[in-house]
Amino acid sequence: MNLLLYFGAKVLGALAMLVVGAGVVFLLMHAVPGDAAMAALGDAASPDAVASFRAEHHLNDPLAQQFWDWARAALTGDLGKSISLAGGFSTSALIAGSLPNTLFVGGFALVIAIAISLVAGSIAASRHGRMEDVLATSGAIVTISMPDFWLGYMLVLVFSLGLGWFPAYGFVRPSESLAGAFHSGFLPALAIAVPMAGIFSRMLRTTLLETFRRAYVVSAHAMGFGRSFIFWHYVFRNALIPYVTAIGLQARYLLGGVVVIERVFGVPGVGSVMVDAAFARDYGVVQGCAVVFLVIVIATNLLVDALCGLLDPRRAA
Amino acid sequence: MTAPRKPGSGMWYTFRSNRVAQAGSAILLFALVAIVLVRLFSPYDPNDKDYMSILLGPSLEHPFGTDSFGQDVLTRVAYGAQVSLLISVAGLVLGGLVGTVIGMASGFWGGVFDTVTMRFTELLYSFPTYVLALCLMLLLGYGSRSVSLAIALVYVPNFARLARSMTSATRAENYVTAARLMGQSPARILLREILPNIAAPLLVQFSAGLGFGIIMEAGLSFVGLGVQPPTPSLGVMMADGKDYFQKGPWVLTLTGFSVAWIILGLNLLGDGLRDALDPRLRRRLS
Amino acid sequence: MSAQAGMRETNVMIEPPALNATNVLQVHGLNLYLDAKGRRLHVVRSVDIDLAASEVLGLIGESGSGKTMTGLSLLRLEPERAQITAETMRLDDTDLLAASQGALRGLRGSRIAMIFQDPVGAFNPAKRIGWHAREVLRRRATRAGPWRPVARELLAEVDIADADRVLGSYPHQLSGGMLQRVLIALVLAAEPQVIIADEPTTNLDNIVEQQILRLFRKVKRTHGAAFIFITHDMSVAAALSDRIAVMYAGEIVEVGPTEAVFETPKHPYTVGLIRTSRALQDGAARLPEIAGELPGLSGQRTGCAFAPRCPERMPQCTTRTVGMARPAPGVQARCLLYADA
Repeated sequence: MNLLLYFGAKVLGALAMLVVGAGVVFLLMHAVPGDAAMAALGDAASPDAVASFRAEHHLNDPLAQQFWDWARAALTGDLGKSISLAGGFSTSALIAGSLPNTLFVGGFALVIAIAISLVAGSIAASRHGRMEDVLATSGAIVTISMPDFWLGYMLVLVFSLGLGWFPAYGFVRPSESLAGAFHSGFLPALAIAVPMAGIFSRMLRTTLLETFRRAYVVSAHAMGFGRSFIFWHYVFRNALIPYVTAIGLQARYLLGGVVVIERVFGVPGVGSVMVDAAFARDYGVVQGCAVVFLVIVIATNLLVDALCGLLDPRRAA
Repeated sequence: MTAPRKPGSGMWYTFRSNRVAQAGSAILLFALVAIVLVRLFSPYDPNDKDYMSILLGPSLEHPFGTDSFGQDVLTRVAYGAQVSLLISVAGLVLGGLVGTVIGMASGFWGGVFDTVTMRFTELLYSFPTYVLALCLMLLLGYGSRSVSLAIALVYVPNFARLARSMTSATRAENYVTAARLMGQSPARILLREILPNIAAPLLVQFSAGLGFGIIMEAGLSFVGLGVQPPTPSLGVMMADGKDYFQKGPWVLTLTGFSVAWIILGLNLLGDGLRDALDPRLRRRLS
Repeated sequence: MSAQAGMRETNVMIEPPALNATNVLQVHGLNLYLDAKGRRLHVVRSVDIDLAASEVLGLIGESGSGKTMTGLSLLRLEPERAQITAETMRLDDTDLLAASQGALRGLRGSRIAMIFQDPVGAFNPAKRIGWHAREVLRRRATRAGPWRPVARELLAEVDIADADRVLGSYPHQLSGGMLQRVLIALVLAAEPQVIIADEPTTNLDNIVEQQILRLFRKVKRTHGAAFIFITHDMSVAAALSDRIAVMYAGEIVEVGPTEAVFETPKHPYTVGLIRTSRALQDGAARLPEIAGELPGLSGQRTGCAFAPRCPERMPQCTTRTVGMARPAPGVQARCLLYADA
């Protein structure tokens, strides 16, 4: 019951955040200098053409009115039309086509990062101060220091150009072939995952070491419990809560990385759509993509909150 | 009533006994010396195009090779590193100042202002870094100034949260209470009593943030939405290098390696300083 | 190590401990060193503890006197950066210094157990009380059968009536007093020979403290365990203990039967402690304080640790090594007032 209340409050907060966030994006995109009509039609456009363009896209309405129309349409899944792509693709269609790719690569990266960090962080903490710890800690800081897109090219150099195991460029949509998506998505996911794994394992190591010193761990030793029992049920179990929270806080960096990595590997994701739209000054599409990213981060945070609520009995109290 | 601790008191001592911080400074020092030496003694100008020596691999004359214009990559890295560092420093200084002021104010006064600023930082936290930056670039136009502003915007919430939590913790301490009772103005208390006591963690955040600022500049410029050529920032050079990565992989590889080297130094230094701050962590890495 | 040499000299003055077959715990010359910030602290200094079966020893001292470290060492749970040395350290027939980690884990909780100051912090915050009970019983129970009825029975023994509610609760949902009862019940489940209770009532409010002390008295009657009751509170120690040991700055300065120590304290520090405690009970407006502060724990010490604060200080107190004297039958005091020579 408490848990439901706790989670209900979180959902409400997230929705409020989403509305405000969307408003901010909308304002930002409408504060951009230069005229959207001119950007779409070119500087040589006739005044008549510009006027009819403005009327067609409701650019003469008050801002609040425009936001209201846009938000209402957005709720029904209509994010407006692209002004840069021939044929006026709808933004929603662009996002619907690219979002699965972004989620696939991002999710794949997250899984790899978590897997690496669970192993590396646990080993480092339980072998504190020894060779394994030094290796894991140094490895983590080195990987954190690498720009992910550069790491992407290094992976291409070794695994595509050198060994020929993975394609250097291009992405097979998961809807076409799941195996192909894993194959072509592995290097981009790895490039995002490796620095993330460094951050995650450092987090896990630190919280594990802090938990090792807790009174309940000493108490568990005094009860005569075995070492591995104490590690899993006392130390790891309790360190998991700050670890999951930390992963949630990294969502914005992880998705940020996706935007750049999509360009490196030619993954047709939301990030690519957004960057292309930015080059074309297609603000409606940029705006739609930004809101989609906002939704992903907020949803991730909700998921993390829910997980923490389940993991930590004190949270809902 | 003066604060009992000076900013970073004991940090110098700990620094001397902290091998992580020492390794970090050694790496950074090496990079800085290399940059200075190359700039002083390199026979090449960063923008000298030499069409006789296009895309030459690393050699004695060109340790990092040449790019598609026949420009010496090492020389360009030395100039680009300065550009990138300055952009990152400017972004962090701005973000640090704004964030610290906001955070200290909301930690000191609390109330509605605190609630609003914390919601604001939460909002900034909800945007992927590059998405936030990209929107800002569209608004302000591409270029190094906008990149700095984007870095600042990404870091405002980090500094605000840190400053807020430390200010509200410090607020309850005796010397602050004493200063309040003596009728000192809030501004004076914040500046004279609280700031010196929270400065050290903020500095650590600053040094850790510098590395990410460089990555961010590189990422934005790499995509083409950041610093614009011909300004030789590290990101611009890497973006250039990716176009002929198969023919001359050394341009991107070695430029990126230099970036990673500098960031590694900054990260190690930041780690070491952080350990020096937190007594519980102090002995952990040494 | 010069500090150790000094200690050994002290020990020469005590007669060699008789090997007493009825003593469940025999500790002689226990030292604990702690490395902190590049300095080496000598936290526990040449401590002797002999505990007979079913005996209750009250270990009294101010915070920082080394009593908790002594307690932890007895379970070999001293911190990672601590080092311990001892001439003898035996639980019954087991050498605690030489025992392997595996052997120690077998002892802990089943033959020697510890109850901690903070009952809330002693439980795994992510698990229900029932989980703790089940895990303890699975390993340590002397009674067979499914765990829940046994757990109910154990909780009834520590006066918990609504056992099922308690077993279904998370630690943070219960009060400190309730958790301390549960912990006592769990510790008793394995019928250990020695139970070390480290300030078990300090974090509790007064009424609950009295209840827990009553519980300890009952447990003392019904179970055969020997207790080391660590406390800074003289009245708590007096209420439970057969014998009292007073610790000061890492050393035991006085040991004796409870009555003797309270009625005719020998060591000037004990005298001061008891005066303060009596004044507290009588509700005195001004407490008679022992002037001065605890001495530092680093390095070697010449003379009596209490000398700088001692009202009876003599010139030789700061120059001579002070050993244990026997001012009365069964009483030992580390004080030159009672030295024979």
